[in-house]
Amino acid sequence: MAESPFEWLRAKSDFPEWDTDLAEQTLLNQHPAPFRPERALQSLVVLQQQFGQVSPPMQTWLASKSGVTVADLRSLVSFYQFLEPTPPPRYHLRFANNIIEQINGVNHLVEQARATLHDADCKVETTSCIGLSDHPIAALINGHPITRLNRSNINELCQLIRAGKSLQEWPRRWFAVDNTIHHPGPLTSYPYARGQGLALATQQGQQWVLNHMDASGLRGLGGAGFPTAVKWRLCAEQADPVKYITCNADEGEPGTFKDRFYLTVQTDQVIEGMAIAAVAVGASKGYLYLRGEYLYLVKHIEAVLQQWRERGQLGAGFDIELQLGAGAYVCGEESAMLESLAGKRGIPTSKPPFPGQKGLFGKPTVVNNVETLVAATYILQQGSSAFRLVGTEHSPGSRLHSVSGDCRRPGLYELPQGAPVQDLLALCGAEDAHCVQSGGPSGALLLRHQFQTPLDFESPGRGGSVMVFNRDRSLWDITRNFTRFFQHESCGFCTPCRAGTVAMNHLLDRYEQPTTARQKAQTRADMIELTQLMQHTSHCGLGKTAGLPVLNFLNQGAGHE
Amino acid sequence: MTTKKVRVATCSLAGCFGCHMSFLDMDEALIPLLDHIEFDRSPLTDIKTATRCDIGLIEGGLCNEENKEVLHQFREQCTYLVAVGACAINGGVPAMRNHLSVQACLEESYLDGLGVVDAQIPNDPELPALLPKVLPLQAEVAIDFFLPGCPPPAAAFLELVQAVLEQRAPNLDYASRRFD
Amino acid sequence: MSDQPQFQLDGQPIPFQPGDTIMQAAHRAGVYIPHLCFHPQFRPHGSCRLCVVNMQGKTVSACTQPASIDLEVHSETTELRQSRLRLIQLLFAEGNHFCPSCETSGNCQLQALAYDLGMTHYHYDPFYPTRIPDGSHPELFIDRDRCIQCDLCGRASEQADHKAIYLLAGRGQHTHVAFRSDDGELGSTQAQAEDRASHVCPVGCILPKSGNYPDIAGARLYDQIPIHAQGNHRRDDGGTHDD
Ligand SMILES: Cc1cc2nc3c(=O)[nH]c(=O)nc-3n(C[C@H](O)[C@H](O)[C@H](O)COP(=O)(O)O)c2cc1C
Ligand code: SF4
Ligand code: SF4
Ligand code: SF4
Ligand code: SF4
Repeated sequence: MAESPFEWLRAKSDFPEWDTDLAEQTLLNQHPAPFRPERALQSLVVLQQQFGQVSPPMQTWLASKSGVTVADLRSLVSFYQFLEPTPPPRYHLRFANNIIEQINGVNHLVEQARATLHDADCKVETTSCIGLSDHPIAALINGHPITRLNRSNINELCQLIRAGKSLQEWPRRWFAVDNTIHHPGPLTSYPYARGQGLALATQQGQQWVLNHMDASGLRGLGGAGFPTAVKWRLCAEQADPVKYITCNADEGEPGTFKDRFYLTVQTDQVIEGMAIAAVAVGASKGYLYLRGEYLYLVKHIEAVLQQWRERGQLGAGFDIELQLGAGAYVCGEESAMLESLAGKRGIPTSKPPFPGQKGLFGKPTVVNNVETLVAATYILQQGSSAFRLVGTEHSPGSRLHSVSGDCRRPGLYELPQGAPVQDLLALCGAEDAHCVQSGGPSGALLLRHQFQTPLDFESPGRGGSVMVFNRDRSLWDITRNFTRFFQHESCGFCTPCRAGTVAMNHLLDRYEQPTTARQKAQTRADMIELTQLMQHTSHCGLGKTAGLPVLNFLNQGAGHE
Repeated sequence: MTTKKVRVATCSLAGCFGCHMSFLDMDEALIPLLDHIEFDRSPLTDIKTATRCDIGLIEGGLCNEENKEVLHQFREQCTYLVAVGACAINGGVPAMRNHLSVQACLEESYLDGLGVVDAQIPNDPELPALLPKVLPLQAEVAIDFFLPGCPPPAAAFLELVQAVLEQRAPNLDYASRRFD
Repeated sequence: MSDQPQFQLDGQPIPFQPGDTIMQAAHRAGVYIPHLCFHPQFRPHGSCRLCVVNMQGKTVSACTQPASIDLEVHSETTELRQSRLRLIQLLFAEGNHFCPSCETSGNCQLQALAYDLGMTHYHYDPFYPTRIPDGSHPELFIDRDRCIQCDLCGRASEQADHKAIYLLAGRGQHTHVAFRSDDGELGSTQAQAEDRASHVCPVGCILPKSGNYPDIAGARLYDQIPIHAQGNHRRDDGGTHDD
């Protein structure tokens, strides 16, 4: 019997030799029908975990078992960063290179690790934000999170690697992920009674749930703020009897880690939210799409899902399957996520049709963020008016902000919608804050004089991800970091984003070089024009917003420097 | 039209002189033009250093340090700097070396190439250093007008000169916008 | 007049059938909206973004946007022409397009659109990527330097040839055309020179190995007549596929 490849603290030294029997057994342990073509991506993810690679012979084997061609498997491997066709090093160290890790000096650590480990069996790389900006500097070692790295403990870590110590022998505290809520609110502190909201939903029926959700005014907390009831109703109205509920747990927005909290601490409420949505639209199957960076949460989530099944709350009318991403930010975009769930490259599809009309496997599908589903559970148990007690008219309720950067208490803060940025800054101990990036790289850059801006869907400061910077931080470095992030994460489907993100970085290179006033002005104009081009002509939200950091820099940069 | 003659300078950087040939291709149209233009530094005149000019026509991209230096001189001296031909605009045929390293190019040309005798890579310090990549002019200086083509048709040159004489932006017609 | 539903394109009424996109209806009505990845015989892709039009204050791709009654669509505006010019310039900058030595020059849809939109230079710094050619097939040559990732080959191979040989792989700027064979080479697939997919590439990426440069300059497809006046063609389609 093959043990689960998702076991905690598996050192790469444990990777078994490639063996088809073991592979088949491992895949069958994960899923009853692992060779269905739409499972190809998940099977690659599982094999990557079990064998530390998805080498060409492994791809050939999977192709023969699944009927998916080797070329298609290769194309998946070439798209998803965490799928590796080459033999694994014994240690694979991936430092997060989000701006928060950068201001904490990740570049030095990378250099230090590369210098110390140049002859060790260790690959040192960087990757986009891994959802641990509240514990900088964070890294993944063989898929497991290591937090609070700094110039002194990095040496210790390198020595352990040089000595070939297995991960079990490393200090346990290095792997600690703190999920403290620094400022609780309704969603994170009410007396949750498991299953109560779902029971009510089942009892009252579809229309009642939809009306109830309508009355709550809940808007999606995954970024776009789309009214949840409208989304559910569209899906409910479709004639097709087969429908799906999907939970977007891709949490790729740099600086965000609230879903990590909910998935760890309020897992039941995420699951219950999916089950409630299933009642509302009439779905019998749900998928939870978890980003590959959160591999270490798989075991826990699977265990909680199992408890729900054992209690009979899942399984009969509605069941949930956990699927994993593999290092692609764009897969958080809802249609790309659905493509990925269907086993393909994460390329956003054209809208219309919207997922509610034609989503996963062409069926009407609800896509909701983790926190939105937690809020749905709250609304069913506590009532829509309780939800509306806080927040604003158009953005009712509260939400969890992920705060990182230059403050004394980075971490999670639940605040009513519409609370001003300065309240949050006071709570987290950011008296020296000079500017705040709110809503992730594609959000708003707020300077000191704009700290009264409310955090809600109506104002530029949407919140969610709130990265704080003091006076010593360079707006230039921040912009550069975001713009490189978008280039790295563009899926490559459409011209303005695939080529535009690269061209934008070239323009920034130019802007930095000493040159004539005429050329500087030209470069500036070119950057503004390119931002607008991407905004208007890109296929999905990634490209549409990828130029905004540069626009923020040009608009706000003069006041800052 | 202005009464003062328009001063024109030309040069070839990483190019093949094909663009210069095309300029001369204006044939008899060149004769009346000469009442209005005069040549400064140019392979057509053999004057080696330019003075203040109205138009600088540059053929070829940048493949070495000397190219860059000459380009900057032209930029300083010329009111309108014109990138002439595919090489000046996107690197052209010489830029096909850009996916190879300079070392690989040198080895192929001077050591391993077909028919090489007395193989050695030239290393005279007088020789300008090769750039890692062949670059278009726009990568280094601001360019005012572009004449596409390999080479641009004679009509494009004529339109350019006429536009400058009439103090307007050149307007290339469909037949004069050619990339080959 | 029939009572077929219509929408307005630059002030001109365009009749459409249920299920039409703006592009399909405009194309049938003989009104040109610039495009590269759209082809009337194959399902839309929506990747090149050249067919962007304005509609109710939004910019959308005409090839994927469903037509609907009384829409007011604007295509030939100064802003959209400028956007299209920049998109074309991005496509040139991201590949390696050395038109003077290209077999397709004069018959190339990318180049023809560039001519039509008045492009004289790249505007953006060329990326000079390193892309690997594929010469493994006895009759066909693949020059990825010129590929614009439009997936027309993929769609033609699937929908017309029922062979599904071509696909896109990679991510971001590393996106590239690939082939469904075990070793990834075109020569190991069932591709044939007569396939529809061998005759659909809008640029000079999928080429026959012999018989290139058949026309002298001046006698090629787009030497005299701009693309907006004759539509997207290849020299081997007999002037039929797009009209
Ligand atoms: C590039 C991109 C990345 C995104 N990433 C996420 C993500 O990681 N998690 C998420 O919930 N929504 C993400 N979204 C938003 C989703 O497309 C979608 O709006 C959301 O999941 C809907 O759920 P909600 O209505 O509950 O907010 C992303 C959108 C874009 C354009
Ligand atoms: S905008 Fe970017 S991420 Fe979105 S489809 Fe286009 S290339 Fe892909
Ligand atoms: S553009 Fe053509 S003609 Fe002009 S220099 Fe270059 S190769 Fe020669
Ligand atoms: S494919 Fe078209 S644009 Fe590219 S080099 Fe050939 S002719 Fe020029
Ligand atoms: S090979 Fe041609 S048809 Fe295929 S994707 Fe590239 S440009 Fe499009």
